[in-house]
Amino acid sequence: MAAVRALLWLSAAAMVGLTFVWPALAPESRAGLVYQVAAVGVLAVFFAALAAPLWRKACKAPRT
Amino acid sequence: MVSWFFAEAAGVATPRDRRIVAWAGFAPDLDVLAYAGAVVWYGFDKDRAFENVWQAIHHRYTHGMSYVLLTGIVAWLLATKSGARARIAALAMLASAVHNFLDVTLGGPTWPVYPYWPLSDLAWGVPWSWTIGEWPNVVVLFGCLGAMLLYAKRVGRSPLECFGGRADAWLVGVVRQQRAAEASAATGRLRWIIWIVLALVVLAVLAPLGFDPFG
Repeated sequence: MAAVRALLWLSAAAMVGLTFVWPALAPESRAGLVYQVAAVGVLAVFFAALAAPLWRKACKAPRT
Repeated sequence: MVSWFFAEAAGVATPRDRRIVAWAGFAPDLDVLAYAGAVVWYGFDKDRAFENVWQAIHHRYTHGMSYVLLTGIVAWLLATKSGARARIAALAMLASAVHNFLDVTLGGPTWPVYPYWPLSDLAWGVPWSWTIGEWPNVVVLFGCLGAMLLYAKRVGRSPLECFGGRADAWLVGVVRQQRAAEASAATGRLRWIIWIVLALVVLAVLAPLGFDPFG
């Protein structure tokens, strides 16, 4: 689970990079395929890494 | 809602700190208060408020690096006095930055963010950004709503924790089908507050999109 949490932090950090670093380095690349693939990939990893620990916690919780 | 799940998934232990991270994720949209004020200022002429205020300010001052840093400072000051303050501040800044990224990719191409304001007026948006009504946003919305209800039922807490422990206990009681007396100490007054807040949030989201129930 530590690896999944690390992935969560990393994907959030990647979002910081794509929002606050990329525009400074390559402002003309907003419509580019590279940015789109990176953004969609980071979105997918973020939501997967978000769901995994919550799912595990929900499964481990005692039934009510 | 995503920010609360983010705090929960990151293992934030106390309700207070989870609230701080969750509200930090919502904080960039506090510029909606300026729009609400403008609607009142222009005598409830929402078109003038939209043109003169919302179009000019939305995403400009609260969707950038400086605001993310401000959010981190406020979170650090508010966080539980423990060794985890720096971690909560970092999570709050990440939640605020994630909000910016989601606005870029899932907020539509017509509303860029201004990542370097006040140092630069560079607008950053992508032409392929999904608009509010498109399937990725619908999936995220209903995914979060479903997760909120399921998580409340199984784990016993939910994003409603942002509005206080009693609001959270009320939802948990409802989804666990507990009797009202056992479910929580929620009173009728609290329920009214929850419904009014919910209605205001829905209006705040729909109003800038041009929703008019009377026209």
